[in-house]
Amino acid sequence: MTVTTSMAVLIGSDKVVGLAFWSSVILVFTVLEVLGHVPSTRLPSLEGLVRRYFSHPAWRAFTIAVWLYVGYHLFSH
Amino acid sequence: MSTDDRDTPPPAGRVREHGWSVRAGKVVPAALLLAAVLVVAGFASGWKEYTWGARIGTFGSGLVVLGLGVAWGRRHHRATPPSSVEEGSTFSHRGVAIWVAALVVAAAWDVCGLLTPPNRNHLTLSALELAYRPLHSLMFVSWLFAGWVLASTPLRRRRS
Repeated sequence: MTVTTSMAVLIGSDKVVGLAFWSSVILVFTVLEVLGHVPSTRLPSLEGLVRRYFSHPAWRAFTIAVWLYVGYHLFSH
Repeated sequence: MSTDDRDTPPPAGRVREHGWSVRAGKVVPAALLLAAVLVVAGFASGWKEYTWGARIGTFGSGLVVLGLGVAWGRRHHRATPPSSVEEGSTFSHRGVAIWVAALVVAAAWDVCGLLTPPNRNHLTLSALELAYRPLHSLMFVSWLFAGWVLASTPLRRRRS
């Protein structure tokens, strides 16, 4: 059995497992975003991360291009 | 009759009414915008892949969000310049590490999904969001939100 097949079995090929995983991912990021607006947690919000790490114009333009490509790949491809 | 009513403070009731009207002036447009986003996301979940409608709809929505984000960011940050605290960003490295860890886990899962043999379901995000319309709508809203943040967050200001 190859490594990839083993991992597929480990992960589970049931679509429900995948749906549960990605729903959890969205929930985690939503919670992080909400907590990022609570100062006492010292967690960053998405805006805080963008402000700190993506504030250079060239870097921001590149990130927006990547964002557009992700949208194209997920929603129209 | 008082010749100068500007010196007299308004009655407390009038201040509360003004506060309510200011709040309503902000809440109603935000609610309408949220409703519009949800309607578009629901509509987007029905787009068929590899069609011009999906491509135009996706890029059109993205460009609209970018344009609105830039316009709102310029108006908002000109009216309320960021405080020194916001400029300094008080979040910890541990908080950044949590975000990065969540991204790494999601990316690892997606890569494992790409390596799935052909006779099994692919559990990648793109495969599953095509199969489940609610997930597709949720991802579309998340994508639009990320674009809004990228467009509305101000760029680094040059030091004079």
